[in-house]
Amino acid sequence: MFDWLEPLQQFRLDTALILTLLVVSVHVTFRVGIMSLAPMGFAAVGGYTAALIATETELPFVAGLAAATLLAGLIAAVFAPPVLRLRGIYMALGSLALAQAIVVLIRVSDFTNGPNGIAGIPVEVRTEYLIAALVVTLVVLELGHRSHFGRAAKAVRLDERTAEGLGINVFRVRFVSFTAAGAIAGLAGALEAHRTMVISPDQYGFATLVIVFTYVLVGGNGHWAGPVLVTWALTALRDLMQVAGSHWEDVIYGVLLIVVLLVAPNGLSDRSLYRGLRRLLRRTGERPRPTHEEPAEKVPSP
Amino acid sequence: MQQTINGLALGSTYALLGVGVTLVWGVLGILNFAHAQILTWGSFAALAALTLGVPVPLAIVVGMLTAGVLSVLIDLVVLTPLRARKAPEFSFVVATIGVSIVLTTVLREYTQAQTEAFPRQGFPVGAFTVAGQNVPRLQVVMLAIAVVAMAVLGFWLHRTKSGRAVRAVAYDRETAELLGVNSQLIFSICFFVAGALAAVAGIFVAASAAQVSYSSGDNLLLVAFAVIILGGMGSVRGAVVGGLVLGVIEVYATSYVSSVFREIIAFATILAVLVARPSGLFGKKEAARV
Repeated sequence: MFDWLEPLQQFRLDTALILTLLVVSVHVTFRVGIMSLAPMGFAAVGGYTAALIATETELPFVAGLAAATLLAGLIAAVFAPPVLRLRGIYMALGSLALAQAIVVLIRVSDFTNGPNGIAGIPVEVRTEYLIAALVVTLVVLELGHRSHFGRAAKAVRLDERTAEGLGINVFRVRFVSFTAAGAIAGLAGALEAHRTMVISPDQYGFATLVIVFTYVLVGGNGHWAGPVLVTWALTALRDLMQVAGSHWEDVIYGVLLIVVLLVAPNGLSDRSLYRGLRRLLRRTGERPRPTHEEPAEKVPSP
Repeated sequence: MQQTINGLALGSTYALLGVGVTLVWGVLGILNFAHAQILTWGSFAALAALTLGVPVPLAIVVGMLTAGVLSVLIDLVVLTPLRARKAPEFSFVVATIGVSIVLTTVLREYTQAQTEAFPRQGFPVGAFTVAGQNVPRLQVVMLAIAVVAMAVLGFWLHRTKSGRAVRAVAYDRETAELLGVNSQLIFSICFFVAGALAAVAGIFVAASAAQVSYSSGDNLLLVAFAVIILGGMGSVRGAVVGGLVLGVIEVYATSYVSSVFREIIAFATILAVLVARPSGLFGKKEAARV
């Protein structure tokens, strides 16, 4: 279906699609105000589950994907109660410790082949599969976004106490989001393993996390379309600028992340960012009209 | 007995690391992920001074100054604007992760990802024997530095005017400003001291390993966080005790259970302490943590 693309273009498209899944995973937690640094740990669980099933057993590729998604989701569900007790920087630190513990366990265990990683994973992933996985995830996300649960999630992010007062089970909302994010990250990790043939514990580090956070924070924490579109736009831009793969890419992402945090802490899709711009436009119009201003969305600092 | 000494020796490294982090993370509550990179840059500055033939004490001062200035620059360029717009706590975490990746990459390009040998001449090396047990000299010096730093920091924070100002800013910045405290100056001082202490830790870690590379600070960062969490937030004494306890736990776990556990101890400690006793060994109860 995508054979007409050049191999390099196809490679970049696949990378962007898998990154999009990771971005969606982080977005799901950000939407309810969970500041989790754990996604790479769940991606590692997914990647290794799929790789081990593919290399050690005769089970089909889809079974490995399903197992990877379920196991990553299960681990997220098991660790959600202790991690979700924490707030603010303590949650960031606790979730990071969880992710690092997973990666270190993989590095020191024998059945995961230690620091050498696993090679020879059959390449099963084709662009169609990635698009299918992404479309399914996004459809589920959009349905969730429009449901009672989606509105509850937004309420929890804006003000936890008020949400609780309105009868929303805050823990349940946070638990479901954390678990879903873990499962999506696991799926992304499994697809990545089946695309690159080789995985090692070192690839689940800060570098990818910074890239994913850049996309999510630039996109903002409103609708999922923001981060997803930003991911695609920045990936395309990166290829045009021909910095892909060089070490300077990391510098560019780091600087971009900082600049975005300073200029638009709620992302580029934040409405309050454009309020000044709109006011400017209105001033050039003939007569000022009273308009309804949307309240700025803010993550409450606990 | 020898295991306990080994544990304390390892713990003295952790204590020195912890004292460096405790001011910014423990007292001011800013989680600085670039701390490990500041530490590494400080060690490289000291290495550069040593290769030029500068004597060891002066080289340590060079490293401290470099790391302190770098630390203040990070605060002024990145963190001050974030504070000015009252950004949520998590923005600081993400911003400093961004800074850390930039600093790592620049250093990696500069050193071409090579591990450099760190000269040990002039540092106290070897071991001496007390009651039949081997005690490594370098670690004793590290422990001494950690204890002195702890005492000086404790005195400064609790007995002097500027130290009280630091705690006032940490408690409530706006009120402190109303009372005439120059909070920006306080932040700069704290970041300078934290950076300088990080450099000391980095230089001694490099000297005991006899090598340093662009990534040698990376796994020390979470160890330092584990030390502070274990010792208790805002407690300088807790940083030293937490470091020693963590070192002993790690050595015991390695020798009596399995070496597999060694690398995971720090993370397990963070999770366990945060879940079971979030205030750590010496910290005060704090509602915001859970």
